[in-house]
Amino acid sequence: MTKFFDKIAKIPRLGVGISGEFGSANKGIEACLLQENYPELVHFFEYGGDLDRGLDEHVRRWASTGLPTTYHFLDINIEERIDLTSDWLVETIEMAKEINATWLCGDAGRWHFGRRERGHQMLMPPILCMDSVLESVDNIRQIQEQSALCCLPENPPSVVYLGEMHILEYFAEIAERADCGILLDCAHLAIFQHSRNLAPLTGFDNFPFERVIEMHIAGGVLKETNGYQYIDDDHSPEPLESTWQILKYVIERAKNLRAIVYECEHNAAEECLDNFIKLNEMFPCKIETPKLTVK
Amino acid sequence: MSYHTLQHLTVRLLFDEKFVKFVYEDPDSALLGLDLSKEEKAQLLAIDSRAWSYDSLRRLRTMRSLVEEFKASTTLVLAETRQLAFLDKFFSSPQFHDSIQKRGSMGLAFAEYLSEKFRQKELKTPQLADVLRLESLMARCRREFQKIRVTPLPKTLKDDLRIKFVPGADVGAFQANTVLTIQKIEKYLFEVNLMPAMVLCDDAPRLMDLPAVETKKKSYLMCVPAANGVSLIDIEKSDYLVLIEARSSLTIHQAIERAMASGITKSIAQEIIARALEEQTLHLV
Ligand SMILES: [Fe+2]
Repeated sequence: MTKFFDKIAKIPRLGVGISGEFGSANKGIEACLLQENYPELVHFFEYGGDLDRGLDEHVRRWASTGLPTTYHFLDINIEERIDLTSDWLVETIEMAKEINATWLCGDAGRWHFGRRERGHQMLMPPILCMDSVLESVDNIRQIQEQSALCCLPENPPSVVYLGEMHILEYFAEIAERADCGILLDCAHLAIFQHSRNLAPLTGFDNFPFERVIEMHIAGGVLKETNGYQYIDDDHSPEPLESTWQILKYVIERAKNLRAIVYECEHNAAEECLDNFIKLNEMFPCKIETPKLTVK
Repeated sequence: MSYHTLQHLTVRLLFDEKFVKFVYEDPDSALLGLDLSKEEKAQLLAIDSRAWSYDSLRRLRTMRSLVEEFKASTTLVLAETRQLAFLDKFFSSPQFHDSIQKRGSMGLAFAEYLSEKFRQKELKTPQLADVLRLESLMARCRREFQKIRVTPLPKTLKDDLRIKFVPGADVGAFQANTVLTIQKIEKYLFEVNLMPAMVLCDDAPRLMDLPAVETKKKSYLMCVPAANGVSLIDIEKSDYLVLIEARSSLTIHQAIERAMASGITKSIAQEIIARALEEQTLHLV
């Protein structure tokens, strides 16, 4: 067994969770309140953070209840060695530990072009080639070593993907070489397949399902620009059919799956309840989670 | 590695439709000098060219963050040109493309774009020169700022010790009405922000009566790291003349000699250096 499987064996199933980022609870779904009202539906909170904005009051409140959290980075270019500075590492680990995050995760590609500075934020997928795999592996190894936490790279969304590899092959290579888990975003995978004119389940041969620890699901919509069709990752309440198809297929095979995040925090809670129920049926949380009290 | 080149190139394509056209029509010229393999070029050209322009608000969103940082300069530019397109053309400029391809700073490239337009007399508002220089100084300091562990000061400062600005600190000399001009612009922006739709009206307030450019008097400013970025402090001419030498590392002895050559007495130069070290504007290197 590799170090990763040793580690993951000790981590219990987190269940179905909800995402959020700095200030999102003030505009959309307040995870604490949702958990209080529906403790059987929401079991953990994934906080999307960056050094610039830090932790918000809401995630601190969630963490203070002792319910699980995970830390999703929004400001590191995993495929770029020079972007992983010691400042970023130290401060990110500090934040993750402050909210007692079970692991670190996040889209692995680029969160900004050039240096990390104002105006440079733009989420881009990695170039799907072996050189990029190797550079990502170095960064993930370093993050895992220094944080002593698992770091799960996530397949990012995009309208344009470059590189000769299939995105599943790219992430499989990273996971095996870095000895890490995978966060498979089903909506993003549906977007990738559509962009390459592939069926939703293409590319799963030889995929290391045992390394899929977390999955994301979110709504998307088909859009058009100058007659060119693409899927917009708009995080609306209703996931596309292809996204559900991917989720179902992977749940059945990912024996070490610990968590599913429904990325719906920008919507109204009532619009998302049915999907929370559906996700809990598909991936029941066997752990008794304490009821959250909000003063 | 060439995939980094490809990644930088995608950013340029996502921002600039004109460039997309150039790349697809004449790839050999458009991609000349870039470290790209044949396969990478082929992959790029296999993408439907319409896909690059899917986000119609990208330029405007990005311009917003540039305008936030160069608030006064961009207001002067818009007041003079009355053309949003003037700012928007930055995304097709060599400064923009160069900064992206070389992993530089887009904000500083934007400052350079405006500064070049002023040099070429496409922009003529006289107040712009120093307003832009001051906003650029602050932008540079923000980017250079990083937390460092400052070496504790010894009891006596020997003059062979080397000193330098801490990252994020710098000084500048500007025409005396520069800050006043920026304050006037900020007041104007505050007013129009109360009801942004007023810009549609013929009788909307206009930016007028800016303080004249003071040709003889100068003001001296120091930019220092602060809790929320950087802040500006008024300083004396003597401080400016002494401290400007610390942009690159030098010994205290050298700094004093240079200051004396500018007419500062030795004791004043010593005092300024000691104070700046105590206040951690300078540090020992
Ligand atoms: Fe995601």
